[in-house]
Order: sequence, then C-alpha cells, then structure tokens
Amino acid sequence: MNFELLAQLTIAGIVLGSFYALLGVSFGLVYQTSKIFHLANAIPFAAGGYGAVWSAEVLHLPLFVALAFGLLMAVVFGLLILFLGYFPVMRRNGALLSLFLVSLGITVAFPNLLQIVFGTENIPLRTYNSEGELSSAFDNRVFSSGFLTITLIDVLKIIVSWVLIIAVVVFVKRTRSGRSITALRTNPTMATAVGIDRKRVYILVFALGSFLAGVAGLFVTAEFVASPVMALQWTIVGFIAVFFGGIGSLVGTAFGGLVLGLLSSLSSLYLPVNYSPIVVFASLFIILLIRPQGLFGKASV
Amino acid sequence: MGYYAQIAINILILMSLAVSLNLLLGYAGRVSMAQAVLFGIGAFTAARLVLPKADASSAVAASGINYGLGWHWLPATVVAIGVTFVAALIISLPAIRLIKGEYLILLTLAFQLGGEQILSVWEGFTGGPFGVAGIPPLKIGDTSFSTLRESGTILYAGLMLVITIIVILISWGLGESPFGRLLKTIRGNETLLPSLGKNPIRPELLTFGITAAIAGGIGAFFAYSQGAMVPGNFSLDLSILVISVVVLGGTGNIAGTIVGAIILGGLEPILRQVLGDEGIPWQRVIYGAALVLMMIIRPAGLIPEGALTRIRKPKVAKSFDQNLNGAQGIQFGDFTNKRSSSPEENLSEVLVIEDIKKSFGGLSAVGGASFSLRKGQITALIGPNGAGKTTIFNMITGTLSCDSGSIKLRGRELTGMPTYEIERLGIARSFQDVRLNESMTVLDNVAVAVPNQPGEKIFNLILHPLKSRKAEKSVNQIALDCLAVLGVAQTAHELVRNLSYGDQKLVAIARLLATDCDVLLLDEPTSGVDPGSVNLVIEGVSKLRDLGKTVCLVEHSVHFVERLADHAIFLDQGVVIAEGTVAELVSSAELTELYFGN
Amino acid sequence: MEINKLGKRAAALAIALSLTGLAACSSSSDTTSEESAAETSAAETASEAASEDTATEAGGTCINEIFGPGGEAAGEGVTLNGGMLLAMTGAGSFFGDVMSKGAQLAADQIREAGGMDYQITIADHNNGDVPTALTEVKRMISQDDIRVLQTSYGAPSEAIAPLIAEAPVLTLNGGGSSPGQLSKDFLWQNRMVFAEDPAAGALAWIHQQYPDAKTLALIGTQENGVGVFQETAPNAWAKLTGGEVVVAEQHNVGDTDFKGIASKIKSAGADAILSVSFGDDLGYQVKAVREAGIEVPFMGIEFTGQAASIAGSTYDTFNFATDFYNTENPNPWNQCFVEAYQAKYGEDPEYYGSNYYEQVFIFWDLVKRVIAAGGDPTDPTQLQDALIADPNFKSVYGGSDTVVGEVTLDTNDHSISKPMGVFSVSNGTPVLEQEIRKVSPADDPNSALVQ
Repeated sequence: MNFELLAQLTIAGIVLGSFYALLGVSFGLVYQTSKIFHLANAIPFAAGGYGAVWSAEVLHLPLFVALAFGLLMAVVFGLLILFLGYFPVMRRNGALLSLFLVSLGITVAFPNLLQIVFGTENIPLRTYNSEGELSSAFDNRVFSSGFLTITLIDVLKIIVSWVLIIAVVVFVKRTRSGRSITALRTNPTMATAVGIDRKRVYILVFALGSFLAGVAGLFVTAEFVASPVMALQWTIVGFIAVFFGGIGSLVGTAFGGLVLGLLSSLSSLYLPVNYSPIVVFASLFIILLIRPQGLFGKASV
Repeated sequence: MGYYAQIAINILILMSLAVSLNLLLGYAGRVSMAQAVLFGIGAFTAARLVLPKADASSAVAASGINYGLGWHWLPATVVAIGVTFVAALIISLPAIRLIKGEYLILLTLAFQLGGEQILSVWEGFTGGPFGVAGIPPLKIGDTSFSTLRESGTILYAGLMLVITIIVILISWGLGESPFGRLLKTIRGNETLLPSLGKNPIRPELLTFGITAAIAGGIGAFFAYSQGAMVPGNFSLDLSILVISVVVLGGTGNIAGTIVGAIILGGLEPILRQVLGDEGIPWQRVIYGAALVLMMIIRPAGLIPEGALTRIRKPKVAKSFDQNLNGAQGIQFGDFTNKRSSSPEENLSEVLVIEDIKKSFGGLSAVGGASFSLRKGQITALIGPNGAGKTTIFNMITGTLSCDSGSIKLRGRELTGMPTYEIERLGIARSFQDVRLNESMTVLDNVAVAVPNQPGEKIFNLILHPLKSRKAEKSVNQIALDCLAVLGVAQTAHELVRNLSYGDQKLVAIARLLATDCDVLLLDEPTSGVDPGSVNLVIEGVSKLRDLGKTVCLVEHSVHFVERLADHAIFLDQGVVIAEGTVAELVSSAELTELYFGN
Repeated sequence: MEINKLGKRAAALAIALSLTGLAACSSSSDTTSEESAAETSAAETASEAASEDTATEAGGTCINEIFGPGGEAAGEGVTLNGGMLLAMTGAGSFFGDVMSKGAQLAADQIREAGGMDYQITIADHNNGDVPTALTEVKRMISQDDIRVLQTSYGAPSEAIAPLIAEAPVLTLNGGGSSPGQLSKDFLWQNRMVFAEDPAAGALAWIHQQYPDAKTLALIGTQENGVGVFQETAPNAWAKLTGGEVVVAEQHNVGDTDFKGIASKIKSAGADAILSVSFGDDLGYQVKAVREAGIEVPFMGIEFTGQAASIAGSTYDTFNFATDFYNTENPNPWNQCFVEAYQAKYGEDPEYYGSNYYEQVFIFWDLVKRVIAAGGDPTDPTQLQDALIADPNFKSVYGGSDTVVGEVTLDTNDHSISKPMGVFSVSNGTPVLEQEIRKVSPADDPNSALVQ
C-alpha cells in the first residue's frame, strides 16, 4: 500500500467530492421539490462564469464585485428558465417529461448562444489592476507539505461548498420559507391545502439552486476558464449525487456527492484512471441492488 | 437523392428506436436512459459478426482491429437482438426490487454511462474510440445495399422503411393489445395492478426486454448502413434524443412518435439548408428554442394520448341496449377467475379474520382485530378516522404484512401471500381515489381487470393472434356487461378524463366486478362524490349483493351505511369495539359519541 | 517561478505591434505590383472589381509573385467545389473556426490572383460524430457537388474514407491525422501523423536536455496517439536512456480533472512526462501536474492558445513537439499569409489555420497542372493523378527570407514530411528550441534531432 498516494488521492477525492456535493445540492433542491429533471442547471453554472468574466473585463469591476455579479447572473438566468420555460408548461398542465424537454431545449441552445455572443475561445478570469491593465484575477497558490499538495482554489472549494451546503440545510430546516420547501416536497397536496404558495416555493428553490450552480461555475472559471461548454459535463454529476445519496434529503445528497468524488478518485489507486467511471457506475448499480433508497436515504414505506 | 435517402435512413432509425421506446415510456410510464447503449450493443455485436475473418488477407487484416467472424447478416442480426435482450434483462434485475420509477431512471442512467465507458475502453469488441470500419454492406441476393453509392443508399432507405413499418406494427400491436392495456394500467398506479390479480413485474420486464431487443436489431441495421462507427455514437445524447422524440410526439401513442421523429430528425437538415454555412451555431439555438416552444404550445405532445381514440370506431357497439338495464349475471365464460378449490367451499363465513396486528415504528395501527365477512352480505367497517379501516384492507389484500394474526379465505390462510395471488383467490379491492387511467377509455379501464386474458401474454399475441382477437371481443363484452350493471355502459367509449367523478367511481366499481372475485372490498365508495350521484353508487353496490358478491366497505356516510349494510363492525384504534346491525350500533350512545365526538 | 504579468502583457503587446508594423510595410510596398497584376489578368470579372478593397486585404499580389500570374492557365473561370468537414459547434468549435478561416482566406487570395474560383461548403461533424460526418459528406457530394474535401479529426476522417474513395473526392486532412487514415485512396494528410511523427524527436530532445532522466510518464487519450502510447514512445525511450515507462494513463477526451494522474506520476517519481493528449485537455494536465508540485519536464504534441489560457502561467513550463509553424518565419509566402490573415481576422494564424490554408493552394496547384495537361480540372481522379505524379508543394512552413518552403507528400502512405520542432513556451508564446524530423521506429531516435 502506497500511503502517500492514498493520502493525495484522498485529498483529491475530497476536493472533487465537495464540488459534487455542491452540484448535488444545487440540483437536489430543484429536483426534490419540482421533480423536474433540470438539465438546464448548466445555464446558471455558465451564466455565473461568463457573468464574472464579462463584468470584470467590460464593466471594469473589481474581482469580488465581478464574482457577485456572476452570482447575480446565475440567479437571474435560473429564474428566467423557470419563468419563460417551466411555468408556461406547468400552467398548461404539462407532464414532467414535457418539462424535461423544455430543459433539454434550453441546454442545447444556450452554449451555442454563448458561442455566438462570446466566441469559441476559452476566456480566463481577468480584472483590471491599479494601473488599468487586464491581468489574471486569481493567483492559484499551492500549499505543500512533503509529498502532499493542495491549491488555494481547492481549499476554497472545500470550505465554500460545505459552508453553503450547511447554510442551505439550516435554512431549509429552520426558517419558515425553508420549511415550506420540505412541506411541498413531502406532501404537495397537504402543503397547498395549508396555503403554501407553490409558485413562491419554486422561485425560492430555483433561486437557491441557481445560486449554488453559479458558485460552481465561478470555481471552474477562476481555476481554469469560462467556455461555452463549461457546464455540460457537470450537470449530470449533480443528478447522480442526488440519487446516490438518496432522493429525500439534502444532507444525504451532499454526502452522496462526497462519496462519489472519493470513489472516483480512490479507484485510480489500483486501476487506470479511465476505469474510474466504470467503477463509479458499477458501484452505483450495486448500491441500488442493496439499498434501493440510496446510500443515505430512508427506506420508503 | 443520395443525401435525402441518407436523411430518410437517419430519420427512420430514430423513428424505430423511439416507437419501441414508447412502449416502455409511453405505455408503461418507465423512463429508460439506456436506450443508446443497448442500441450500441446491438450495433457492435452485429458488426463483429459480419466483419470478415482476420486471415482474410490484405488491408482489412493489416489495419488491425477491423475483423470479425464473417457471418451472413441475417443470423448476425438475430444474435444482436438476442444479446441486447439479455443485456436488458440484466439491467432490469435490480428493477424487480425497485418499483419506483425515479430509480429506474437512475439505474438505466448508470448502465448507460458505465456502458458507454466500457464500450470505449473495450478495444477488442468496439475498436476503442476509433471504432470499427469496413463493415461489409448488406446484401440480399445479388443486390448490394451499399450506402457508399447513391443507388444503394436509396435501396437501403427502402429497406429501412420496411423495417420501421415492422417495428411500428409490432409496437402498435403490442401497445393496443390487452398487453398494452396492462402496461398503461401500470403507469402512475404501481399498486393497482396487483390488486387486480396481475403481477406487474413480468410485463414490465418483458417490455423492457422487447424495447431493448428492437433497439439491438435496429443497431445491427445501423451498423450495416454506416459501414463505420465509434462508441461515441451511442452516448447519453442519443438516449435523450430518443426520449425527446417520444415526448414531443406525445407519449403513449405511436402516431405522435412518428411525427416527432420526422420533426426532430428533419429539423436539423432543414435548418442547415435554410441557414447555410454561416448559421451553424444558430441551427442549434433554433433547434433548442423550437423544442421549448413546442412544449409550451403543446405540453402533452403534438398528438396527445387518446386524441385519436375518438376517430377509431368503437369495437363493441351493438350490445348496448340489451344490457343497459343491468345483466342478471355476467357470463365470464373462459375468463372466470379460476380459483383452486378451497377446503371449506360452502362456509357461510367466507373471510375470517383473527386477531391481526400491525404497528408502524411502535405506533399500533391495528391492535388485534377479529371479525368475519358473511357470504352474500354487505358488511360495513365504521369508526373514527385513524381507526385502522384502510389498514385492515391493506392487510387483507397483502399490500401490508400482518405482524401477527391470521386471515382465512374459506379456510385458506392468506397472510404472507403477495397481493396478486390473494386476488386470484377471490378478493378484490377498490381505493379511495379511483385509480383509473384518465387517457384510456372507460371500457379499457374495466377490461384490464378481466382475468385470464390470453392477449396479455405476448406469446399468445404472436402465436395465436386470431384467438387473442376473438378473446378480446369477449373481454370487451364482459367489461361492457359490468359497466351495464353499474348503469354506466353508455360511457364505455369515452375517455375517463371526460367523466364526472361520480361516474368515475362507478367505473371503478365496475372494474372490481370485472375481476370476477366474489369478495369485494370497497374503500369509501362515496367519498368525493356529489350528492346527486350518491344514490347511483348505493344502487350499484346493492347490485353487487344481488349478484351474490360478498362485500365489505369502509364508509363515513352513516346514511349510506344504513341503507346498504346488512352488518356493521365498529372499529376504534384498530380494535373491534362492537358488531351488529347498523341500527343497533347507531342507537348506542357510547359509539355515537366516539364516532361523532361531542 | 514568479511571472510578472504586467511584463507578459507588455511583451504580447509589443509583439502584436511589431507584427502590425511589418504588415503595414509590406502591404504598402505591394500596392503597385498588385495594380499591375490586376491589369494583366485576362478577364477581370465584375465581382473582382467590386471587391477591390478585399483584394488588397487578401493580398492577391504577393500570391501572384509566388504562384505566377492569373488567367486561364491558372484556372480562372474554373469553379472548384470544395467541402470542409469540421467541428463548428461544441467543445472543438475553436478548431473549426480557425480551419475555416484559413481555407476562406486562401480561396479569396486565389480568386484575387486570377486563379480558380474555389467555392467552400462547411459541414459540422459535431465534434467528431461519425454518423453526422457520413451524412454530411453525402450531403456535400450530392447537394454541393464537391470534388475536393478538407477534413478534420481522426475518427470521422477514417469513417469517411470508403465514401470519398467511392465518390471519389480528393481529400486532405490537416488536423487529427491518425495511422488508421494512412494508405487510403483519395485521402491525404498534410499534417504530421498525430503524435507518431514527432514522438522520437520529442523524447530525444528531453534526453539531450535532461540526460539524467530515466523514468518516463505517459499520458494520452485512447483516441489519438495510441500507437505512440503503446509502442513508439516506450521503445524510443528505452533506446535513448535505457530507462522505462513508469506511468501510462489514458483518459477520456474532454476530461478536466487530472489530479489523479498527477498524483500517480508524483508517486511514481517519473523524471519526465510525455502527453499525447490534445486540445484543452493538455492545458488542464499541465496545470494539474504543476500544481501537484511536479517539476520535471512536461512534453506535449500540440499547442493551442486555448489550452494555454486554461493552464495560465503554468504553461510557461511546458514543451511541445509539433509541426513547426511560425508566424515570424520570413518565408515570403508565410509573410504574405500572416499579413493577410491578420488583416482579415485581426488575429495571428496558428498551424491549424495554416494547414487548411495550404490545402487550398495544393488543390489550386493540382488544378493548374491538370489544365496544363489538357484534362478536366474538376475531376478528382485527374487531380489525384497529378498529385501522385509530383507530390511536392510550396509551403508556408520552412523556407527562408527569400525562398518559399516546400513540403512533400508520401505517395505510398499519403502522409507528409514537413518541418517539425520542439518548442518551449515563454509568456504564453511558443519559442523554437530544436528542429526535428520524423524517423522510422527502427532508427536511432537521436537522428530525429536536426543538427
């Protein structure tokens, strides 16, 4: 057993898993409440990244304001999808699959719109410095201790992801608006009967979910670049994390994401890395056999 | 021409995949994300089989991986279909445990994504990311269907059209058969089918297998038409595209899927023609926007399920009048619920329940209830909310297991049996909500309950099509008779969604009658029914007694119970408090207080 | 290594300015000759007259200086329909973008110079999707009557091989050349065979620079460069150093998380890294490797500005071996090309753009030869015969300040020999370290280094 490698892969797994957890909770908030297979969660993700890059370069916003602008764009685009895409179909009693198709249509169109507007290039996050020059906004420092290394962004990914996840969980459990989310999820008929406004709750979960997706988009942009297809590979990850951990609970989803990340990273301890998706999906398959309700889900009656 | 023929081939392949998926997605309401990888398994299996043998000299062998077994395409196609069928059964193994639809999505998604990766890593089978090339073109006699030439492409389009028509006929035949009716009944009502005495797992697995097998077969023809392919062709994107075609067209009806495939398959080539080179990214934008717009304008799909039902002529039109006033008895003929004889056939107490208990997490729901149902009588279970009435129904029908106690039907112990077997012994139940499929006709909703239909077995549909058709006529007649008993035969060809709730309740009772069970459990038959229709329900239930059925009902309306029940059992907190005629119970001050509160 | 970003920007700016200056000078000096060329051209069509401004931008004159006068013998009046099979949407859209720009510029220049009228149809193969590629090529054959084709990516180009041989359509691939495309009728490569050709030179250079390096880590996709990954690189490395490959990891095209591979390389203590991945993946790899604290030389087989922007400053520790295309190559045709490209698109060309640019000139050359022989210049078979008869073509690669470069296609396996180099990256810009050539696997890898 190579303990150094094990430790380094564990670190990588925690970083990846925290990111998966963030995406999972982002997707889970929307999915658990609305049951919409919200592929278009890729749009707030990309909107966050492009919002930050664009506002920093064109509006000359300083780094943190640009990041906030990116998050604002993420929420705006998330809600636009809800209002222009999902609500009209819901009003006409469209089935969940119809909503999925709306989601798919948006997901197909949006990256190409980005390509038309911003070009095919990868755009790094750059801000204007005090001398009025564009320069890389983020210096990704590396911390190392012996064999082990971790970068600043990775540390931030872990901290920010879990802080936000905990904040969301507390919000859902402790506040009045938050509890309305749970109520609508567990018993929609009862919830509407006691006067919970379905539409309001949807707006709330889409805003929250899009915010978290936007944060994920900012991480990718700050670490690497914004590009038209930046979000596509990540959307499905969120979905898997939700099921991996169990549909019912956000905490389960978050831990599901973490396990997913660890599994995918640690599988390369003994296997070539391109086998890690196979390991992940095979274990998913087996988990479903043993625990159909998901890893951390409660058995349904 | 060659190009248009190629577009036609592409559309027809998409159409075949979507039409077969519609069986699973539209009829059974199960979403499978694995369609693309199953299609790929078929394609690569066929390709490996028809590729020339390795020793066949020259360039083919030199390029390394493009060799196979040199089979004729026909057996290769058959094997491809078989392999895909088996693969589908493997995926659906866990599905036996997982009845919940959401997890089937995940399961198939996991299979799709894992399978994709295996295809791209398994170079010996798929050639890795560069895939296989040099798949020999299909030949029938001396005619080559090589799509490298224009003439061959046109021929292939013709062949593909024939294959697609076959797939459509198979799917349509299955979908509109009693088997398809079973599938439609499963959709959205996972617990209903067992309560009608039918095991839902078999038809579901079979549908999954058939859908996959068709995908595998189409995969083979995809391989012959392409000549070359890579594992990347069978990605999740394709699965999603196929699902989109079904949803866009309208789930649960084949005509919609055909239209959907033409639109989604044709949209891109048309946009390309219209927009030219400059508009390449715009094509995708418009494509996506069109999808969104179409769903906003027609959320149930371009041709919603049931939209074409009215156009079709009613199958059983004549026999209305003679039955309108209620049949004296329904002739089940070959379709009786063939119960094996029980030890005590002629007992007056048909169902005997002794000291059954059920608790949920320490909370006692039923705390040792004992009572019995008398033959040919209506017994009412009454009591305050939470008295455990519905729970007892669930325990009798096996949807909930008993912690202890015994339930005997004519002396036969029922505890521990699955729901559908209990039904086959003669106990059927209704639910508080009607649990009808709104997009099916009234007649179909009732017909599904008729036991022992040969047309529910695919085997019979294929080997004895005439017998199945004939049987279907009789089944429809039985269903119509049952509707007539409840006085709703005139609605037989309406879609359920167009009926009033009161009528829907009556249809649900007619469906209960169609099971040919002699013990019928009715869960709140009048709840939610408008006062005008309550009398119709009362009339209907008393007709059940007239037909010799043993009826047990849960009901809140004392008025209703008074008019109907021969015997009443008062329950509180899962225990029988009192028993007697309704009049006796109602006169007891103590019970009245318990029931109505202060 | 601390990089002064301000300095980096300033340097980039300075380079850009000097290039613009160069362009301005040469374009002014060309003006007179351009006018005279226009006068001498036999038939000046209305469209040409209308677009005189574009003529100046496209740099028609320097083309005449290099390729001779326009006119009937140069194909004027001949319309050749050409197709392009590219990645126009999705992850690879950058490639499609620059490739189509290169070809379009060539078509403009040739038309202005009084040569053939080259009509381009572009098809999107949707990031290398094979069924899409097959359908699209059929469309271009039957709808647009294409006689020549510029293809890209490995898998779709292999898949269309039988189709273009059957049609036929004379096809050139300038990006994503793979061993499986070699020796196919009507399919020719004008880019080095990906990874295979420069691999020996790349490793020889590492050995020369870092003689102590004994262990090698290999990264690659399963898609391109598999042969290098499995055979060429391990064999050449063993011959050079007596050492061995200690890590060999393949990944999926489009992966962005390389922490796992980096950890394995670090754990195995490799002395050098060779990656045969391509596109954005390389940028992610270099960043992950450097951020894992691995300092050993990292050699790639490709350079794109796209990958560089992903890796950021870490790309300055990256080396790569590839077609030696250099915007500052003084070769007169190259200068004419770079200047026109900048004028038209406002950016520098890179080697994908230049390869597809050159391809159109190869077609033009063949058209002229077939005309000279009295044949049908739009017949793909005659065009290919002319190519086989003389596989030498002018090039923007190589050459000198007075001589235009030359490349030779191999008439046996249809590959190309063209100048290659090992480069380092400085402030995001490639710098030539060593010229290399392709050698056969049996040869001493050291002979790949051009002395």
